[in-house]
Amino acid sequence: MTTSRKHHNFVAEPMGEKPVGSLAGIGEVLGKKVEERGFDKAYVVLGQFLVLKKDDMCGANAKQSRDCFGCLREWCDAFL
Amino acid sequence: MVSGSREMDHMSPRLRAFLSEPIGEKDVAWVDGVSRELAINLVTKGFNKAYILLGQFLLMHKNEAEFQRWIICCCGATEHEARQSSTCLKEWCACFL
Repeated sequence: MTTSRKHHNFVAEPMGEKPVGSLAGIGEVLGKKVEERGFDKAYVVLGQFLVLKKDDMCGANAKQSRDCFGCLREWCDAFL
Repeated sequence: MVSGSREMDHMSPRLRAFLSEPIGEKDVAWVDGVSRELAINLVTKGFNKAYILLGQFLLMHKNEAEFQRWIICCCGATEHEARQSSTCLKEWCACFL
């Protein structure tokens, strides 16, 4: 399985104040939905990921979830 | 006298230790401000690792006042513990996030 450029860009550096749409697996449509629920920044999604003890994400289809989960897990491996 | 930055000089040894390296799999008791009693309460509620408490802080958009209210009301922290732990997590974010 190859990872996208978006994934590579995200895991290459601290996330700072990057918007939620910068996460792999979160495109424009899902990004808007997620933002409407208060997850406006990538770090808020990271927060949810950590509270779930880096376990599976919910609320997205399987591929989006896998991509996002993989992205966050790799970011954590590098920076957490 | 040789010293680090002005900010580092005012940090507690515990905070300095916490910020000196990535969080990894450190237990929640490593977070500055978390006493043994608070750690027990946090672990009981599922916050056994520092990164999980960090996650809660991030979910609250790094809002220190909100986090402090939560850890006092839901986890039995004192005001002092709440302030120290929120400062610790905020500083971690500034360094690593």
